[in-house]
Amino acid sequence: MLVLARRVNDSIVIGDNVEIVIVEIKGDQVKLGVKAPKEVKVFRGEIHAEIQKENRAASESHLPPDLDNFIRKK
Amino acid sequence: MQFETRALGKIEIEASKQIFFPEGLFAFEAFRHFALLPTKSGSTFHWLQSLEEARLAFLMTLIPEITTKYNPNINAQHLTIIEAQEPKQVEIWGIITVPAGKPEHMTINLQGPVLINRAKKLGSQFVSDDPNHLVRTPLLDLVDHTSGGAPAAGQG
Repeated sequence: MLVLARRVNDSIVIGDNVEIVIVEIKGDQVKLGVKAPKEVKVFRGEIHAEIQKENRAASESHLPPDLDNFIRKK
Repeated sequence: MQFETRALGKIEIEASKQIFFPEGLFAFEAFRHFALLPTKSGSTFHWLQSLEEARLAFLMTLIPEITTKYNPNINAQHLTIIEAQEPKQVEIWGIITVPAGKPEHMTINLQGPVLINRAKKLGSQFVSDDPNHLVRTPLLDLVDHTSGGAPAAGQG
């Protein structure tokens, strides 16, 4: 893994059209700005992993008997 | 055309019920062709059934059918994937996880809803940036109990 030291307002560039700017550093938190074309998806890493994990769990689900009675439709 | 399904056996699935996911679903990116099938006639609950792998299916519901309080901020990028111009053209579905043997603890994924553009038969899993939209939201807590019942009595 490439590790770079940066200061506030510095940036790193990835490829031809993605730039990550260090916006603010406060204690153990860093605020990053991401400049990328709209077709590039940007997520917090842990959210991506959580949704993957939940999709796997959901794919194991079986239909509860009388599910519709659980939920009163409006 | 006939397809093998996980929950409904081998059934005829017309082209109108088939949905293409250009990017697949998270953790299942290889599977792109799905069908949206009611679990039974008239039910709000549907199977998102893979047409490439019979064992792969997700239980889903249209989120607006169970709550009016969910409005994710759907960005233009995501609309582009499913060839929609505005959020109004898009159905918002939630994937349900049912823990084995404990259906009362089932949850719905509000952080990663599935967006479907019916007109184009395209779908995509979206990531909501609202911190209140949880991956595991208890489904029974979410339901608006507004159907014909008396208003909640005894506030506070």
